Amino acid sequence: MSNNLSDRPASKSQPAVRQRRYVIAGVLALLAFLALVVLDTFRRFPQPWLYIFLLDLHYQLARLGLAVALVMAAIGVYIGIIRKGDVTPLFRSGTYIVFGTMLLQALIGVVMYTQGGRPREDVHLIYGMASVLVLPFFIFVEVTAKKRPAMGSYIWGFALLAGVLLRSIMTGS
Amino acid sequence: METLGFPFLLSVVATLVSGTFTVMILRRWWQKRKPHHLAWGIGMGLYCLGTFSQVVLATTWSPVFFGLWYWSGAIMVAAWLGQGTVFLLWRRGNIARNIMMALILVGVMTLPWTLFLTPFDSSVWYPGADMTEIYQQIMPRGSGSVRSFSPVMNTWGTIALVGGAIYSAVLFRRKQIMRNRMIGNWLIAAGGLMPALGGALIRLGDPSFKYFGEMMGAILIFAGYLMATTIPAGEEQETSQKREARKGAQSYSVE
Repeated sequence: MSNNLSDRPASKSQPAVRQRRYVIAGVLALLAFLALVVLDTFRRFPQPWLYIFLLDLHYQLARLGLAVALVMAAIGVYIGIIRKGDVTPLFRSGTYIVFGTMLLQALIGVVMYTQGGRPREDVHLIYGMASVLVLPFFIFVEVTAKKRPAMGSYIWGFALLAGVLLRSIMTGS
Repeated sequence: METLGFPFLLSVVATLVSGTFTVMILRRWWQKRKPHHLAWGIGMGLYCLGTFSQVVLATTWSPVFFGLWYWSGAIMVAAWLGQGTVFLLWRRGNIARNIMMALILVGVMTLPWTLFLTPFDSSVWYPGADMTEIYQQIMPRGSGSVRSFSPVMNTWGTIALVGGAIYSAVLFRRKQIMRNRMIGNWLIAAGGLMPALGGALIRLGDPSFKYFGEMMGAILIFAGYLMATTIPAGEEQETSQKREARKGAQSYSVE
């Protein structure tokens, strides 16, 4: 005797499809932001050389990262503390996107450093390294947590990331 | 021979005690895999590193050992020892693990900052120098200096270690169980306060207690740990009997 429920082909649930759309929208928004920065650089400098382009990108991504970290921390507080809920897959995907952005930001910084660029204070390099490391530490805690809900990890992570980014902005330019 | 003064001797004793303690506690962690053992093991290992750097700095100038001395002793030790207590007492949710990640992050940030990005003025150093007297001239406090981490980390670590030990001691006393653990926790609390007291006196301009406080801190924490983890054979049985009796009384009152 077969179980009718288990015989059915697994269909993608509506929330999963919606979630994927949100993730794609997030990535597209990030790409649109990068395109806007590039256009702005071309507008201000008709023939921009690589360094100015990277400098603009680095500058804008830091501010975007700070704003997004604050928004994500606020969303984390809402889901985790006010609604007492757990981490949603969408939130986790958002965290991975922010981490990817921080990685890109660090790579831009490294390229600028190799081109001879130097931050206003040397400690900017430490904050830059920390901005890449913050999220993986707390993603690890959340992913391996035996006690649920575990949204607290991301609230810590994004609050720390916002602090680190603020200091890196202050010491960078 | 000038270098082999009293501070040097105190540093050597503190290094030996904290080193032995580190090996013991990390072995226990290896056997039982409890996170509080790991945190205490790291904390005592850093304690050992700090006092060993002090021994080296009494005989020769080394920017690496000065950086390690400051990083381990002034920034990390108290916070890691306190982290062990946080793991033991703060079991709700993932708070203890999150705090540990923040600690690792601060450690990873401040180590290269201290070693490579902080300028040291070695001209004030001399053989046998009391480092607690001259470190402020070697590493002046500037805006955004790594020294700004020290008060935050030490305050947090001392509150966690000493507060946790006092809380546990009071709890054991109130329940009238495990006398050894109660005394052990009082010793740990006293040991945790010793280096903190030394640090506070340095800020008030009297660094003379620091080396003695460090050595006594290591000895008292070690003694307290030994006392708390050694339970006499009869006491275990007595404690479980008391627990059972309390459980029975509770179920009786419910019925």
